[in-house]
Amino acid sequence: MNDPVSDPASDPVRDPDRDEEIYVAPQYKLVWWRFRRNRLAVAGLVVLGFLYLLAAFCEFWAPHTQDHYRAVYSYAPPQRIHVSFDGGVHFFVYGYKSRPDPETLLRTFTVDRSTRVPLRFFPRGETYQLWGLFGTDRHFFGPVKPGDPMYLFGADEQGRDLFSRLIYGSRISMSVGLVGVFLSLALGVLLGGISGYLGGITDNLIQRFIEFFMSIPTLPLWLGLAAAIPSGWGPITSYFAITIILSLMGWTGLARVVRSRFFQIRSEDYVLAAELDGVRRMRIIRRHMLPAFTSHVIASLTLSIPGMILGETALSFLGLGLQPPVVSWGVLLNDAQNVRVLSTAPWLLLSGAAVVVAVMALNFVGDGLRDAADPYES
Amino acid sequence: MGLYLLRRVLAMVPTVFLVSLVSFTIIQLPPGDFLDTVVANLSQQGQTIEPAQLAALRQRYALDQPMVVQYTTWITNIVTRGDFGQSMLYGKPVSELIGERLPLTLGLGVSVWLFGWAIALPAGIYSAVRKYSLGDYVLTSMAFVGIAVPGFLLALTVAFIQFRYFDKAVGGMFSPEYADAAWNLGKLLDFLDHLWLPVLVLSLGGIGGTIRVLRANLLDELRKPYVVTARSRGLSERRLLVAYPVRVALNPFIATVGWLIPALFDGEVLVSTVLGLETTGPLLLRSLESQDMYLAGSIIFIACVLTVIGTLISDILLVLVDPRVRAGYA
Amino acid sequence: MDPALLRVRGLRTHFASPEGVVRAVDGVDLVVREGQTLCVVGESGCGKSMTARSILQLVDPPGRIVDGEILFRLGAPAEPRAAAAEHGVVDLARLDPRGRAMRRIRGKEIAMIFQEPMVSLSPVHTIGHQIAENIRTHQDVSKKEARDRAIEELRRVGIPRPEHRVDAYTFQLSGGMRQRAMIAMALACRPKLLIADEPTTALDVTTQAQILELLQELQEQLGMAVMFITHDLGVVAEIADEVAVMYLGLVVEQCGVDELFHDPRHPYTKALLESVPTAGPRAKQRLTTITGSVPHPYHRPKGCPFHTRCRQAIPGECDHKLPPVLATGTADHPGSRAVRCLLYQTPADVAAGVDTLGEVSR
Ligand SMILES: Nc1ncnc2c1ncn2[C@@H]1O[C@H](COP(=O)(O)OP(=O)(O)OP(=O)(O)O)[C@@H](O)[C@H]1O
Ligand code: SF4
Ligand SMILES: [Mg+2]
Repeated sequence: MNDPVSDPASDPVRDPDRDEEIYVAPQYKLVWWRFRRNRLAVAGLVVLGFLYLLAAFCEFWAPHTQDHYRAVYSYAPPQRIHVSFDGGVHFFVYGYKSRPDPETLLRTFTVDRSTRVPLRFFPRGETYQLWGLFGTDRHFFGPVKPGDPMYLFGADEQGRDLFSRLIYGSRISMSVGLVGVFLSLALGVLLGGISGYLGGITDNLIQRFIEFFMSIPTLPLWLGLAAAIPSGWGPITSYFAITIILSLMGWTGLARVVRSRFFQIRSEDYVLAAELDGVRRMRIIRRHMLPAFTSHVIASLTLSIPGMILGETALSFLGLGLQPPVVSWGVLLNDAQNVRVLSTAPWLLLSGAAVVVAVMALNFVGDGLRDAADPYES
Repeated sequence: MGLYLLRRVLAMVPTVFLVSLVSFTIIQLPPGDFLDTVVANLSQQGQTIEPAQLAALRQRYALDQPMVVQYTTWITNIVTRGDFGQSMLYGKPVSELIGERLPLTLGLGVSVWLFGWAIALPAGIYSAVRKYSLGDYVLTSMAFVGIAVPGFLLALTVAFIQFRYFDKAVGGMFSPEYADAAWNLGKLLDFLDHLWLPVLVLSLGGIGGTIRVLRANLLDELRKPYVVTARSRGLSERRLLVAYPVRVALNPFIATVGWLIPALFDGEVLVSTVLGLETTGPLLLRSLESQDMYLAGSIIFIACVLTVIGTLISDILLVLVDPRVRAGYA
Repeated sequence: MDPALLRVRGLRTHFASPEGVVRAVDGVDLVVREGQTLCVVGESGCGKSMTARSILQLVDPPGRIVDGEILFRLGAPAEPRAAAAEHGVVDLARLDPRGRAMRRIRGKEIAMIFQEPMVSLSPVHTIGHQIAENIRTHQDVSKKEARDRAIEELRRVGIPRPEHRVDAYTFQLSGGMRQRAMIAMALACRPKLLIADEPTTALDVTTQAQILELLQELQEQLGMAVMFITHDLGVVAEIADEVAVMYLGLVVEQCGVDELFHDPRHPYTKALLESVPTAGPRAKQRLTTITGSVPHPYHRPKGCPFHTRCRQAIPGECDHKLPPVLATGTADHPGSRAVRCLLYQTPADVAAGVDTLGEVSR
């Protein structure tokens, strides 16, 4: 005779601590495994990694510093990199010939095939302080002679290198989203968590509050608040002021996600079991609720970064966000407001392209994460 | 139902009050007041203003009164007389300024909404029903691009292309020759010719979002057992789709119809500024820049109130279409 | 003599996924006879629901019927209700799942009811609307007529005050009422075969008994056949004429209900019967108490799928050779039985209950 052995899956959970170990650990692996199958999401992750690397060491990647200018190259068009193979591999760009247009008084540039600007990896250029720790003058790539013109993405009105400025701009534009999202997260998790865990009247009040916030049109409010930032504030202060303004709107969505997750998880067996055991509430939240929904929160976070990036871009584009000399993608786009300027220098729109790439990458990663965290989506 | 309606309308009152406070506060945030800006502008041009004259102006706009009095005067005038105050920037009543522009803003909003739905609804349904087909991939990628490209960037690009390659300056809703003309067929055609571009630009982001969400909702619904049940009764696929899951999947959209209004205000400010449309967006921007408090505050306030009304409409619609909600309030 | 109404032969329904192919149904043979009740039992995940859905071609992608025949007899000779042109046997597996022919069978010839009436009915339509829609899909009647018929059908399944309930939504009904409504909906077009997939599992014991009683009553009134999927051997004993026992996508034994309980042949059937407590009140008994657990669907054992858990497995045989179907008598005879087990070598062995080891079964 065989003993009927009961199915282990139907056993009630008796030891929540042990259960966590066997349940949570594979959960992350499972999410990662599902995430990896989504090719768009992986591509987005690669692009994002690249962008944040760019932002972190922008002084090194950029051939010039952000304020380096040569007025004679005002609105110089983008150059193409050429390779020559005589005596080893050499990179170079052709120089410019320019003459002022008698009508518009703007200079028009043509490629000057007689002058070559030699380029190389790790050239010496302007000195900079990397992370305020040590100074160096090595750059990743640039002209062999520091003063030579190299404008891969063209120049702006004052003859500054758009390519370098774009790289510098990534630092602010990419970090605004991160910082803003963490502020939102703090608010959202706090209020959403309280709402979801306590329920009842507290929940009701917080929900009404969130609804009120959601019923305010975002941009006019942003504009109003941003317009209120005193122009005398330094770059760091206004940077934080802007992120706070951006996160003020972003937290409501997160709070709702957190709340609904709490409601859902609260009813699940292992929390009930822990509660029956008399485990303290905070411990329940920390040990059982948080691990189970982090992947969802990370997904929501990733999906709310684009809104922040777009918000900063919009505000700075309108001249109400960050102000020059600070460089962000939005600030760069501010130069492109005028259609006439654009028709002279269409490459100024490239900072917009950078925004689009970043936002798409974030959306892909966020979507991939959300799907990977959702057990029903195969 | 009548009782529910009454309760909902009454519940709006505190919200509107809060919203009015917020609108008013925002305007008070910048240091100094409108007159400081006027003085600063004048002195930039090398002019000065007599202190006595300044004091007179301050008195006229109640700027020397405590905040509470300023607010009370403002809101009382709005509620009792529809008087939103005087725009100091334009030297006209605010209600007149807004009255000129709000119709275009709302008209644009309705067009964007209709156009967006006409495109997004079939696209989203197609995308969900033909999951992982070529068409689905194309639509989904387009939706992603639509979400990622900020409206103003698109507007800028389109404006640039028109200027550069078609030698056509975008701006305004009318060509100069029709701007002051009375309405006739020519003017109407001219208007439509100017309308399609802003509508297209403004709806693109929304279309992308709607396709994504509708596809996800519909896929969720299509997985549910009631769809299988209906199919097991011999319903045709088309009837099955339209009568059941599509109806359920649309409910969340109906619930958020009200949010279209804030979304409109959000997108419109930038796009209209770029395309030079005479809507409330650029007006708001200009008034904020010059701290024209009555004007800016009124626009934000009206936008918020419209949103609150939109939410109410959503809720009522939801009650009408979803028996589950209806039963809750019956 | 009860001729076969539905005969499933070698049905295979597979799910292709990036990780491999799940062979949810892998060679099912079974027979449902005119006016009789066939119960299908087996552990969770053995493919009962997928078999049922395959019959009506309701398997969602990536699932697909890859092989087999589903022979259904349209319009029995004795019954004048079906048009003469419709007489004959169709192979449902060959019909286009979205085509007209399949749709005319769904709901009209073969109807299906499900375990969870709450989620199986539309949340945004009244039950009357859904019944009427069902009628109007298959019969040319006016809206008014369809509505009156819907009320009639609700009355027939014992819903009190049907004139009012016809306008109720599913969430306004109790569990038992919902299941009654679903039955009314399924039977509105007088199908010849009702497939019931665990229709009582979600209900409390009292309601369960009422629904079973109702089903038996209606079966008698309407003379239809029922294919009843359940975990509950108590239910089987109560309503079944015949039983098909499934294991890992295979029917391992089909026989009459008395033979099943008193004279089982297949080792799996025996193990199933042993796992049921013989004394005590009839409780909901999930069939999960056999040594070991069902192998993961990706790792289907070779040979007899049951050999990893079978006490009588013959080493070197059972893990290599898929047991063929051994059927006693003619398949159309109700007393016949079919078994898939290598312990038996000929139909005669099956009939006699003597396996190759020379032991008398039981
Ligand atoms: N969408 C799917 N993709 C892959 N495999 C599936 C899918 N749906 C079902 N299956 C597989 O089909 C097998 C049979 O499922 P089925 O629902 O028929 O079992 P069942 O016998 O009805 O079980 P229960 O008693 O729990 O209802 C399962 O083992 C499952 O792994
Ligand atoms: S074939 Fe072998 S393994 Fe399968 S049931 Fe019969 S004896 Fe057991
Ligand atoms: Mg099942």
